[in-house]
Amino acid sequence: MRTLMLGWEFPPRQSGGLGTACEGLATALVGIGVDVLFVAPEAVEMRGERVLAAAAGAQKSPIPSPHPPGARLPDRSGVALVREIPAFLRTAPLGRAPAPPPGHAPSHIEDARADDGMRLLRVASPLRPYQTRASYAATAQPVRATRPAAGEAPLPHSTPTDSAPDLYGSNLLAEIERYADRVADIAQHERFDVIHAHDWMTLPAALRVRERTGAPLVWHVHSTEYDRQPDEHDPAIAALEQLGLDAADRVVVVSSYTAETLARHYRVDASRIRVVHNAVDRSKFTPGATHTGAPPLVLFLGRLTAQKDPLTFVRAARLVVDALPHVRFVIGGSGDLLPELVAEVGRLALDEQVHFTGFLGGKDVQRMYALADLYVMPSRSEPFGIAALEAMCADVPVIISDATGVSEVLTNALTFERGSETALADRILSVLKHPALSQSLIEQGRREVRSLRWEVRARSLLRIYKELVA
Amino acid sequence: MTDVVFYFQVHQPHRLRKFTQLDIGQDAGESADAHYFDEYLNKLVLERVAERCYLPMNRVLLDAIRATDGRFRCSFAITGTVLDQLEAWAPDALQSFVDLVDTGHVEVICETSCHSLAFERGGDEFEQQVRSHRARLEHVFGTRPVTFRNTELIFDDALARRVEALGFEALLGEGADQLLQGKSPRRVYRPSGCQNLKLLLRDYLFSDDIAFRFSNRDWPQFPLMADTFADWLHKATADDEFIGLYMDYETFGEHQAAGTGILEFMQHVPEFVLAHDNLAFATPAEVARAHDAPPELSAPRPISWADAERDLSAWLANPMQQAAHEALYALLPDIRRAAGLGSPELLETWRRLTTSDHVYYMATKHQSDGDVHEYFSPYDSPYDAFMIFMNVLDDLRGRVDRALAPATPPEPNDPIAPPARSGKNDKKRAKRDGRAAASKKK
Repeated sequence: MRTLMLGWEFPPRQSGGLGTACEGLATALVGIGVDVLFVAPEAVEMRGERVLAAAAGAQKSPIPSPHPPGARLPDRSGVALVREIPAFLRTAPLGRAPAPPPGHAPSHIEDARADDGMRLLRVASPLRPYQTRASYAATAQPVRATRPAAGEAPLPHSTPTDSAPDLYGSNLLAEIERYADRVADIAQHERFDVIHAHDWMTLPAALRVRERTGAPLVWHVHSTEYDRQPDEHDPAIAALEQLGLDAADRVVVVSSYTAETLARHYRVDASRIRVVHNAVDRSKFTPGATHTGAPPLVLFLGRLTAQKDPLTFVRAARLVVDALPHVRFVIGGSGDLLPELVAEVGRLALDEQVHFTGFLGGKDVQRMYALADLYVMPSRSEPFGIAALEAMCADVPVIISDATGVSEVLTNALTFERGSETALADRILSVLKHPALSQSLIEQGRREVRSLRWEVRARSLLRIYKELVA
Repeated sequence: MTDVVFYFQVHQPHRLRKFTQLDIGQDAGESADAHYFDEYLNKLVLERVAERCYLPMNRVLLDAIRATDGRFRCSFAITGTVLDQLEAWAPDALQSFVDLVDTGHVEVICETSCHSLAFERGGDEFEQQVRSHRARLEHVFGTRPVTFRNTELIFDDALARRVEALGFEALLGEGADQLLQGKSPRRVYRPSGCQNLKLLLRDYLFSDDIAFRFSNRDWPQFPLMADTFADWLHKATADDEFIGLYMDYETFGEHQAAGTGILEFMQHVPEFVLAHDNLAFATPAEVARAHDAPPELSAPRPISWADAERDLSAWLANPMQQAAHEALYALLPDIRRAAGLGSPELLETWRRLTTSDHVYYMATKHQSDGDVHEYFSPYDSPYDAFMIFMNVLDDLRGRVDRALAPATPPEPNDPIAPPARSGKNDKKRAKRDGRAAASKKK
C-alpha cells in the first residue's frame, strides 16, 4: 500500500497538534509496511513572527544538509528529503540550515532524515498551519517585500525579494489554489494507491491530484472552522470543508466529538465517516520529572485564541489565588488574544502570579512539563487535544474542558464545564491541595497512555485504505 | 439435614451532592446534612428501590413464610443509613420489613450503624456504632440482634474477637478461597481467639448463581429455574451443615430487573427446596445454636465479599482512598469534643461520611470489577468522588472549628484565629464576586 499524504506541517517544523498527529500517523504507517510520501508546504519564516524553532533550537539546524544542492540521494532505505527553495527565499530563517550562497542556482537541498522509511517533500509556500485569511494577509505581504527591520541584522546570504512579488498567491485562498497546482504537478511523477489529505488547507491539492490520477481520497479532519473560530467562521473555509465532506471517498475524524461537530454544522454522509482517535509517542517525553518544590505551577500551553480559551484560565487563576496565594500560572503560547489576556491579568491584579512565556516548542515544552504541577486545557472546542496525552506522558496531571475529543479515550483526567472559571478553579484547587489526587492521576494516567499508541491508529487507517483499494 | 440460610443485605448510603472547593464555608446557616447530602438523588433512588425491590420482594417472602407455615425463614441486615431514608421517604416499605420480622421467622442481623470501616481504626468508634445500631434495631423491630455482619462481610480474627466482646453469638463472613484453603464453606467454624462465637461463611458459588449469574445470558445454565437450583442444593449436601446464601437485597428487582424473572424465581425457591427431605431453612442464629464446639478457623488478614480480590482493596487501595480514610478519622477526636460541647449533630453527620460507599466510589481498579464500582457510583469518576468527599470534609472541619471556638477563645491579636479568618475571607469573597460580576458583563 502506498499513500500520498498531504499535510500542513511536519516536525521538526511544527506549531501545533496537527504536525504531531501527522508525524505519528505517517511514522506508524511506515512501521506497518505502508509506503508514505509526505508532502507539506515549506513553512517559510515570516517577518514579525517567530517560529517555534527560534526558541527551541536556534543554534543547531534541525535539518542537517550534508549534500550539495541539486544532488539527489540514492534512495537508500526509501529515505529522501527534498526541499525546493525559490530564489528570493535563499535566506536562512532562524534555526535552519544555511541556504546556498548568492548567485547559486536554487533548486533542491537534500537531507537525510532519520531512516524511518518515509519520503518527505516540502513544497515552497507560505501556507502555515492555523492560518486565517486575515493572518495570511498580515504575514504574507511583508514577505514579498522583505527587508531587515530597523535594528535587525540582515541574515547572511540574504537576497532582495522585491523581484518576486507574484510568486505566491495574493491571498490565502489564491495561494491554496497555486499550491494545489504545484502539488498536482509533483504527484504526476509519483506512484501511490491512496491520497490522504489533512484538513482544509490541502484539500484543493488533494482534489486536483485525484482529478489527475483517479486515486481515492481519504480526507482527515483534525479540526473544523467551527472549532477554530468559535465566534466568527470564515464562510469560504467552511465551504471548502463542505466540499471535502462531499467529495472525499472517506472522511476520517479524530473523535466522535468531531463527527458530531460535522453533523451539526455541515451536510454529512455518515456512512463515509470513520473515527480514528489520535495517540501519543511516549518515547518523546520524560516521565517522573514532576516539579516538587514550591510554589506550585499551573500550566496552559497552546495558541492564544478564542478556541483555546486562555481567558477562562486566567479568571480561574484569580479564584485559585484567592484561596492559595502562592500558586503560579504559566501561559505558554502566542496568538491574537495576547493583548486581551495581558489586560485581563492586570485587571485581576495577577501580574505577580501569571507569567507569559511566548511560544514554546520542542525542548522548552519538555522543560515546562518538568516544572509544572498541573496542565490545563480549557478549550471551548477541542476536536482531539494531543497535548493532554503528552502532559500525562510527562507525569503531569491534566484538567480538560468537557468539549474535547481526547476525553473519549481518557478516563484519568479531570474535566470541567467549558467556559466556567469556577468549575476550573475547583479542580485546580483540589489537585493542588490533595497530593493523593495528583498522585492517582499521574499513576493511573501513566498506565492509560501506554495503550494509546499510533501503531493501533495506523492499523485502523490501513483498514480504511483497504476499503477503497480493493 | 442441611440448613439453607438466606441473608439479605439492605443498604443505601447518603450520597453527597457535587460539593466544590468554592462551596467550602459557604453554608449560609444551613445544617451540615442539608449542605452535604444530595437529598433529591437519595430520595429518588430510595423510592425507586422501594418500589422495585423492597415492597414486592417483602411481599414474596411474606407469602412464602405463610404458605410454608414458617418453614421458610430468612434474615436481614438493614443499615442505619437506609433506615434513615426509609423512615423519611418510604415508611410503608419500612413497615413491610417490620411485618416480616413480626412473623417470628425472620432474623435481624446487626452491623455498624453507618456501614462503616470503623473496625479498621483503633478506639471505640466501631463499638459505639455497633451498640447504637443494635439499640436502634431493637427499637424498630422489637428484637435484640444476636448475629453480626461487618460492612461488606469484612472480618478477620481481630474483628471476630471485638464482635464476641460485644456479646454476639454468630458472625457472618465470606467463604473466600484464601481463607478456607480447601476447607468447606458449609460448616460452622469458631474464629481463632474466640470462645463461643460461631462463624457462618457465605457459599459464594451458590450465592452468586442468584446474585450475579441469574440474568447473564452467556451463562450455560441460563435461564436458571427454581427447581433446578433446589436440585443443585439437594445434590451438594451430603454432610454439609448449612449453605450460606448471602447477597444484596437489591439483587431482586434492582440490580437484576423484574423482567429477568428474579422475583418469580425467589417465589418458587422455598417450595422446591422444602420438597427435598434433606433440606430445610434456618436463620443464622438457629444454625449457630445447633452446632456446638465447632472447629477453629484462622483469618489473620481481612476477608471481604467484594471484587475478585476478596480483601480491602475495593475501599482502601489507592492513594485517594487512603488519604480520604485518614482525613476522615483524623477529624474524629475534635468531632467528639464538639459533640460533647453541644453539637451532637456534627457527630451524626461525620458518621454518615464513614459509610464505606464513599471510598468505594474512589476505586481506580481497572479490572472487570471497575464496572461494578461504576454501576454503583453516582459520580462521573473516582476523582470526582474524592474531590467532593474531601471538600465536604474541609467544610466539616470548619464547622467543628467554629463549634470548638468558644471553648478556646482566640488571642485578641491572633490573626489566624477562626473569627478573624472568616471575616477576612468574607471580604475577599465580596471582592471576588464583584470581579466575577464585572467579567460576566463584558
